Amino acid sequence: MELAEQIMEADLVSPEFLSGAAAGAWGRVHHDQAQWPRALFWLAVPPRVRSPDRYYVLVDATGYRCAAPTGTFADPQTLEQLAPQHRPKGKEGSRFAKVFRTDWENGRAFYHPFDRVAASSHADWVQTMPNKVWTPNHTIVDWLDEFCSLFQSEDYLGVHLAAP
Amino acid sequence: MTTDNFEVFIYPAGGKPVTATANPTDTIAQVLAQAGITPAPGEHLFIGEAVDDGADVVGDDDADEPHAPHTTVADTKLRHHGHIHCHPCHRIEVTVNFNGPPKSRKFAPSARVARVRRWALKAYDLTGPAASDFMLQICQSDQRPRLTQHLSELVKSGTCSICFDLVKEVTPQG
Repeated sequence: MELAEQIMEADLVSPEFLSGAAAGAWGRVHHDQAQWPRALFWLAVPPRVRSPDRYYVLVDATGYRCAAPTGTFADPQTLEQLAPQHRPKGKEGSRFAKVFRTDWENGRAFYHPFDRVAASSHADWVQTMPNKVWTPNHTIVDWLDEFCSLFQSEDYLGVHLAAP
Repeated sequence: MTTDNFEVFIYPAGGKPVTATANPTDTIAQVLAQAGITPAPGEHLFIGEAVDDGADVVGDDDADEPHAPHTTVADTKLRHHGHIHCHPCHRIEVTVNFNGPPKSRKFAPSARVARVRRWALKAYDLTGPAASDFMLQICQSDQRPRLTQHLSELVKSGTCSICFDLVKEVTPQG
């Protein structure tokens, strides 16, 4: 087991992670195809009309914790990237909508400094959002908590699934 | 060890939480001792729930009271995945800066940052979507604690107060 995986596994049994899981905020899903450096998590979200009570996020934690994880919403069965019509939507122009946009990199990563892919192409974020810069002191708990917190916003609208 | 054992999380003052095992017949002091924690004289022991109830924060002080070390687990509200907070402060004076005069309120050390934020937003009449992007940042730092963190984790020994600025999260651009 490589060092990055050992560190991740240790963080996944930390009181911080377990406490959040016990509170129903997030959890890890063991999936045969989600092998290191990938890991599947769910995030609990507030209720919205015709919307799920949780979303699944497939994370790639290559280089953890020196490097930030990257991830996006995924189908928990196939691990395929979640189709746009099933992804969470945010009020137009909101921070929520920006972070979970699908018109950038085809939605394969979160548009946020905590996402490795996004951060790597936005060097200016170190200056414009210094408190969101990922460091080796951050853990998967910070990552999950950051995106969970976004869902607490009234800007989160649900998925707007078509009426049955 | 019996099948009545359950897992709890202990939050030492200003430190990282640790996992411990509790039994209804244990005293709180025994639960702490099994985790290698000996509360300092005068340190308060608060029992907290894992889940924040999301209720409005009213009044100018919390109602939570600490438990004596010899209290048995059965006589407290401690449950599976419940929290024990050890802290020298009975209350923590929280001051929040935003537009206008600072607002202050006393909170138990076991209060979550999410609860303090909820109070602060209401104190400054920030409601609806406009309030969503405002977070608490520790004064004179760029540290924005997680909403799931507790004041007991942020306030180290030697002080019973903490100051936050209510700041707006920046929307990623570029």
